Amino acid sequence: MRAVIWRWGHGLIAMSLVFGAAAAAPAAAPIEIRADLGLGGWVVPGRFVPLRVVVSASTEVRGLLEAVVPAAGHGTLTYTHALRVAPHGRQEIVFHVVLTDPRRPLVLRITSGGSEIARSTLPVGVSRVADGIVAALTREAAGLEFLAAAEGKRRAAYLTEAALPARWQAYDAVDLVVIHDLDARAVLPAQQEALVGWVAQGGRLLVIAHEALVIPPWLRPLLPADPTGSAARLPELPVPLARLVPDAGVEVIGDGALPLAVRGRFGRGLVEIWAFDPFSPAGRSWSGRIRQWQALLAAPRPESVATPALADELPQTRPLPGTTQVALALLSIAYIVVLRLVLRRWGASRGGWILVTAVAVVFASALYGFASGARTAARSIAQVSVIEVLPETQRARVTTYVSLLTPYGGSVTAYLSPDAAARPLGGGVLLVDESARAVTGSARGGQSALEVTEIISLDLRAEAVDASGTLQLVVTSAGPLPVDALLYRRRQIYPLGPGVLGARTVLDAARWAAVERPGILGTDLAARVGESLLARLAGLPDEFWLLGRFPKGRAAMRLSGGQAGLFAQMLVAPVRLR
Amino acid sequence: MIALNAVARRDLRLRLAGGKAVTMVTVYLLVLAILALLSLPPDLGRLDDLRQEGLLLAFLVVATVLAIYLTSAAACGEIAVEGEKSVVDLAASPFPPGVVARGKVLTSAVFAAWLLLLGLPFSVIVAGIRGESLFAVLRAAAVTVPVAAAIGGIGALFGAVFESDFARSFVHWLTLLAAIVGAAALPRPWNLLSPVRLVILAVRDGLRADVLLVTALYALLSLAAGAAIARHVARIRATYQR
Repeated sequence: MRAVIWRWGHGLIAMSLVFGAAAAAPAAAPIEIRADLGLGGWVVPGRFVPLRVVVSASTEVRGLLEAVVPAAGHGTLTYTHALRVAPHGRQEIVFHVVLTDPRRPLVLRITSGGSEIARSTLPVGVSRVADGIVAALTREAAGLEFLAAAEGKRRAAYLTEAALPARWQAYDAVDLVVIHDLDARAVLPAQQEALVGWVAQGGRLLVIAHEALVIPPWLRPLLPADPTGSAARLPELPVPLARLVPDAGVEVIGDGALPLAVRGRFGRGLVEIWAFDPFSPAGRSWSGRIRQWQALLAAPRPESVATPALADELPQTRPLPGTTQVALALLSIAYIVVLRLVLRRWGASRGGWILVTAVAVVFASALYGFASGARTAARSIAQVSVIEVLPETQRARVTTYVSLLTPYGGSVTAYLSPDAAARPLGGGVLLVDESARAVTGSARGGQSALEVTEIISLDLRAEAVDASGTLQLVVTSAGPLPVDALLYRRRQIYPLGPGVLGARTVLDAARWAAVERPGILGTDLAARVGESLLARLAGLPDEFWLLGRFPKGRAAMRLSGGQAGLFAQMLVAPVRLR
Repeated sequence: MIALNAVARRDLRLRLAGGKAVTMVTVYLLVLAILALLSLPPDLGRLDDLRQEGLLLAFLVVATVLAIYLTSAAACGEIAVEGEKSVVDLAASPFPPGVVARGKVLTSAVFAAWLLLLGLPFSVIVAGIRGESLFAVLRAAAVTVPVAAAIGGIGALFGAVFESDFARSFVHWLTLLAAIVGAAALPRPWNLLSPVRLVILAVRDGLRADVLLVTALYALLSLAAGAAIARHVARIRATYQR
């Protein structure tokens, strides 16, 4: 009888364990992850491309979406975003990712409470790699077929208004944006600002003027001509031409009375408006359109003053503060002295070993806490920002190079300013939390430097005015003026400092000095960056530049305590000769 | 600890409080302190990925070698601690040979553990600043103590066998070199017999089966050394009784 009870009892316990475990286990949430990488499916390695992820689920999902992107070497770039999907709902998240190795797939994971609840793999493949992308906003996905036969590997991406990026960095891989059809009501302010900002900092925009296109007010300041909408025909052209009224000082292509195209600049970008429609059936069959496309795509793109070489000026490590080292040495000496005292006095007495052990443990605890604290405090960042004024746009492009300092291992987390996007300058492991705008990385795994780009509002204009034989520098600004500024022209500098730059400065021809001597600007970080920028300016076509320290302390990245670490900020503005 | 063995109790008290013993411990701690402070410059840890861990490892290897040397040198009489009786002296005492042998081996084991404990504040400086786990320090200690006990036991045996100071020191150093340097030069897996290699593996890979096996071998060796000491004490007594 006892044996029967014993057997049944164990059976019941086992069953209750099995069913209890089954009841306790969460039901597998039917989660669907859909992802769309690149513009029109194309990616350009090393450039930002959008990654749209749509998560839909039949039950509520709260967790974290992770996009693990293979980086150079064996590194990974992990982008994360908080996820909260209502039952039978969906959430769309757009990451701006940098892909360097298209042969390895992206991994999309959803984690909740630290455990993975869904996973999807997104293969990329070299067949989706392009050298550049021509993005066309058009109803009909046709008209750019000629790109397949052209030199290089430029590829077409036909977009709708909804697919327009909301951040300018997402256009990083784009060579040219073409606006053919535009429903102004469907373009959000963030999308408008992203496109305008991208053009201002050096992008290329083509607008096709035709009767159906209504130019929205936000786009008009970019255009070099005003399309009137009425069409006309030239006997030598098979396509009708819209009438364009060019602005003053722009480049007119074709007949002056009925231009074929008008080219102008917006900031550092290039904007062209075409009077003919290369997407229309007649335009697509006109062979002359190819020459226009080629001329536009071959137009030189402005180079940024800031280059990754500036990251070399940043420290890669930093030692412990001298006070910390002295404190550690003093604690060590104190331990030895106290231990000697205790050993001599109580070492031989009964229970003396307990006292000696206590001394060792107390000092071990204190020194471990001190050393761990010093290690944490040693983690920091160093950054240098170059603010490039974009003429006539009331904007400036800020390129910041950030060095992650983890001298004793571990990782450091820094927070990005709202419009900034970070790109690693090497391999390693980097974590980008898009929700918190936080970047976590370590110098230990080879990841030590980042490039952070953003566009800020800055209304500053610098002009060199020839007034009755003397050259004057006139600087107008709605914001702060640069400090310790200098003028650069043809490997010569003209010091305008020290101190804040005045609104009008008469330039004395005798004060120009050659910049061949290193260390002429000083030895601190800002001075070293300044000299590096001078070397860079020598290779750029604009010959007259204003350079100075930016007085307003705005850092692209900050540590959790709000500190910017070691920080230098330089302003560069082209000077217009008048 | 103290209730276990009278010989060990007396030896350990002398090694804790004797003038020469305190000086020995002070020198040991100064060496470790200098090593710990020398590991502070961050560039040392940036040469390659392994250097962060490597600095703690190097520190633990030095601490191990020092602990083994000091334990065995004190046991064989190369470093004479005032008042400490050698195996030959204890042969004339009323303690049974087994108590003398166990006492000498126990003294070596506890003294080695003691030295590692006293060096702990400097180990944790290196571990703390480099972000390493304190378990690495514990693992190193776990393999060092049996090794030091074994070599200390052998040292105590040398103290009884060799009357000449020179011969004793010569054989002691020969043993240390054979164990630390010679064994490390052996092909794998025999190089694990070297305490240095043993500590490296214990710190890097944890207490693996082969590490535990070699540690157990050293523990057995300390027992064998104890048996040899007991036998030698018995032989001395038999000689004098005749």
